[in-house]
Amino acid sequence: MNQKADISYFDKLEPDSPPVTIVWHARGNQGAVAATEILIILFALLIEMGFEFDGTSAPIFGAAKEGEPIRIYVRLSHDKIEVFYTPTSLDVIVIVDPTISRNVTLQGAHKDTVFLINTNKKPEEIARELKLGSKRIITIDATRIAKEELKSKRSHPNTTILGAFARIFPFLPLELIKKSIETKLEEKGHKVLDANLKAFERGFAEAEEFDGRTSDIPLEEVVPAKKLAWYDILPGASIPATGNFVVNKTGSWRTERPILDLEKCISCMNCIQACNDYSPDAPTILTQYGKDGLLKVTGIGYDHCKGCAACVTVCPNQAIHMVPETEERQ
Amino acid sequence: MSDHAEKFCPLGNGQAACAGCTINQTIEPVVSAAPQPKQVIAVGASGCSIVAQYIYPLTAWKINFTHVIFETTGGAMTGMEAAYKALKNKGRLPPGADDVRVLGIAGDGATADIGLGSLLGWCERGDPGLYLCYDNNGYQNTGTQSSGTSPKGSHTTTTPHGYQTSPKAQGKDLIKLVLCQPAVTYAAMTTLSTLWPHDLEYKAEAAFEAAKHGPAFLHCISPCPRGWGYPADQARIIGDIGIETGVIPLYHVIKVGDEHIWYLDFLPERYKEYWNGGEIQKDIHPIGNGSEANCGSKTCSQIPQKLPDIKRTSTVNGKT
Amino acid sequence: MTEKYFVIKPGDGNMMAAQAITDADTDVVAVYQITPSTQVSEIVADMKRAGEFTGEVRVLHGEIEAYTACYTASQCGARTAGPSCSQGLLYASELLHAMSGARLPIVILAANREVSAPVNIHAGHSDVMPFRDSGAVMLFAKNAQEVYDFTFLAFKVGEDKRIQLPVWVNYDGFEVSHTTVINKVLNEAGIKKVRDWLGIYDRPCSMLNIEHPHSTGGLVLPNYFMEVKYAILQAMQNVPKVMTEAAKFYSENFWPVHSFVEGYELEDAEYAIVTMGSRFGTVKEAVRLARANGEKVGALRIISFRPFPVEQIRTMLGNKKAVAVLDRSAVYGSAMPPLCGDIASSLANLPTVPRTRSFVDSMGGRVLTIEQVFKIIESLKHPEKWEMDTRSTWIGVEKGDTI
Repeated sequence: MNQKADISYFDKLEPDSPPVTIVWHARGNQGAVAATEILIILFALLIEMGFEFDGTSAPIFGAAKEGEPIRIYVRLSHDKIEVFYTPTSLDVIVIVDPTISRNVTLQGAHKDTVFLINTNKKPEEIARELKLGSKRIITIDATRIAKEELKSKRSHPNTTILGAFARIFPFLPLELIKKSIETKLEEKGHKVLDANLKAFERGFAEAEEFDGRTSDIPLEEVVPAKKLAWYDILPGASIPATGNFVVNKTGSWRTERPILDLEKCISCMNCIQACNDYSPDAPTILTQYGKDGLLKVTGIGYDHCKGCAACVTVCPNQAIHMVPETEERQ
Repeated sequence: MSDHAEKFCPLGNGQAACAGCTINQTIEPVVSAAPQPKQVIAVGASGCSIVAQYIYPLTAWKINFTHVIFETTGGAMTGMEAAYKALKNKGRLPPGADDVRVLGIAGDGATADIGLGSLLGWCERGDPGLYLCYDNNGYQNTGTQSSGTSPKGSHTTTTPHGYQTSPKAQGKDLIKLVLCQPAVTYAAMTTLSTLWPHDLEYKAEAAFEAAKHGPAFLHCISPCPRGWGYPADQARIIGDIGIETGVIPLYHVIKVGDEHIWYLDFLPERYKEYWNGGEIQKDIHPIGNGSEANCGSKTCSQIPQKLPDIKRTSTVNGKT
Repeated sequence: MTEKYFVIKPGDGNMMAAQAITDADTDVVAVYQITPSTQVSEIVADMKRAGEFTGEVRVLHGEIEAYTACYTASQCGARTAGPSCSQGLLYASELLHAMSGARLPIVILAANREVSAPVNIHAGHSDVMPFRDSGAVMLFAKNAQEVYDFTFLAFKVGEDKRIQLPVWVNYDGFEVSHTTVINKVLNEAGIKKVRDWLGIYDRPCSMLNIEHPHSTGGLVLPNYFMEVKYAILQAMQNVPKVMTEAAKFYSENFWPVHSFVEGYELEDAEYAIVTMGSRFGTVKEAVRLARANGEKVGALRIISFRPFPVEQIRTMLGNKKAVAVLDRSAVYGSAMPPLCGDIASSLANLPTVPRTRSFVDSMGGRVLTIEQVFKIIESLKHPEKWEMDTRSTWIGVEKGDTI
């Protein structure tokens, strides 16, 4: 638990105090790992300049697959950091992708935790939606700003979010953060670097803040996942082969969703064959027998669709097209 | 495909595989092609497939499956087959186990790199079973390192920009290495594509038939969007292009008597001048080993004279 | 015993291992040859050809393949055994550690031999010690008879639903594996009785259970890893009870068998010498002669190295003035090698702790002599003369340590 006195944010890092713990929740390919590396580069620069700081950054991947949520834990401190375990109590929670389950992103939050959320909603709105209750919230529409500035297919929101992040630690010089971004991104060329620096500046300027500490927003506690006792685990960690992985709704991974035009669909089933995540029990392509006894495609099953668009490519009639996934995914 | 919705599906979804992965669509049709899919007992070597399919306490499998040590898939298959035979001879098989098939699933690393000795030893021993290699040309699970099937010049993290790569036999000719063992009953090269969408299933069916009598080997090129750096939707198009150009040759080999007979499944345009209706010149195509090539296998009834006209579009990036 | 269940048969340790594998109705034996364990594979293969062994024998390309075949065969509910030693065991390291995690009751017959480098084909415990923490049960036989007897105990204990762990039956290479002695082996009636007793290996999550299939052995994340391993710990804690039951049945129905420890002249002894394996015979002879001279000394042999018989050690050695422990494997850079370390830690929390001196002997097939044991006994009487070394005393090294 952070024992610092409660001022606006963090105006310095105290000596003889536990490190400030930060987590970034993101999906693969949103640039979160690069963002945390930039923070460490920044601290390395500060140490070189003679300041007394230390910083560590530890990404945690699950099965490390594209689209799956990842977490990166950052510790920042005045003193040398000698602990490496995953923090269980977090002072700053950065949510790069607000579609990641609340059960995951709110873990470890304490009553003084600061939230930084990448969303197009207002801070109070998102706080109500996530039932955050009595926290300081900063929001930034990094996805939009990044698209506007970077203008590429993979416009990573990371540098924009870093801009908003800089507000939480006002003692870190903006010029130095920019220099760290430059160090990390210089190999990508001037155009990319300049676009990212602009995105960073906009992130800093356009972030919105909300002090929810005295508001009436409810706080819903995170329910810890129920764990099996050691004697309930079958020998060899065996699992009855019931295909229970289906409870993992991988539909939450996607950033785009397929839309099926039934007028154009000829029910050739190419899409079913090409879909790596199809299974008859929880189908990504819905089918039904027609009155003529033939099987017809009737729609998309969004629970498990990861949005890879393989179905779009193999459809001989172009009956499917992709649209961006919204924050309100069904 | 008409009964697709009601078939028993041995490998379900919800898996933690990358968007656009091709592994599930490589493994599931093979298991389903068995005469009795519920009686397939599978072993899987460490790799992308394991890590996506089984994270305690969740599993995507509905048939018996075990993970085995990375480089020993061949030994694992021998062990299962030996146990099945021993218990069968002693009359102690559990109920429902009357046509059990052994299936080994391994990536290209666990088959043709660290596991090459295991594979060839298993082929030599001649035990019945089907070995499925899903080949994505590298150790993808650990972040795309070079493996025995990574082509010369390919960019991997241990051979950055093709640094220090060499031409290798295992890429296109892994089946030739396997067929050096006379006990092998069936071997086939296949991939996932829109032009030959049932190639994998038909070959799996034939392989299971042959696997009753000895080792059968399926080599499926299964592209990896992360490792190969292509947009996630293009996997089947890569298969199409590979087949058309001959980069992914489609063929199968059946043991008849003491001989291995090679069957060509598709003749790429650029090889047509070397085809005299009977033989293909050596060194042009793996099938060109001087033996008679017979076209007219189950997988395609004739060599297509004209490729179907499919517009390959991806509206994701707006480019055609 | 009212009925006679045995015949007398000469044979060496390897022969007895092969005989026990056959008599126990083993289903699958996966082999690869390595001196001095090779003959086990040869004899079992020959017994298969002759029809005496009714399971499957598989010859694979290396021990890692052989033990993988044992691994999956056991997962399919087959009773499985694998003979090897030395380099072969090290080559199969991945499997030997995996077996306990997968809870597979495979019996490993290890004709202990030193590991390279340098190459040595003779007896030593350096091949088994690297695996002492792998979660397997480990028994040390002193002669060919015990190799035979312990193999049955190994199947019975390993396959018990309260255990389900691999069991090692260790025996000294050449000294036991290749020395022909006269043994009792089960006759036809005895074989039937022991097979009835062993029963069927009923694997809970068998791969051949088509009606209730299982996935086994995949990825376990930090949230569950320790729980899976804790179950192995609990299984190991159950071994003494199960082993005692098994040894009792065997002793009452066939012939006497030791199980955890074997003591000799320990009751009123003031000093004790502890060892494992076939050197116990030498130590026992030296103690017998010393006793005849009035020395109050006794000998203790550890049979069950894993689980270590902590309570028996406290009872049998706790009241001794000084104890010498003879290890057949060395450590480099630590105060005590494996056996001595386990003895000392078992005694560590007693109100009074005996003085303990560590020796390393007989590596690479070198012989421990009775004269050397006499010197050990003499030194036990004068602990004040022990140099407070930070390491063991190695016995018999040219220009090396003095006892």
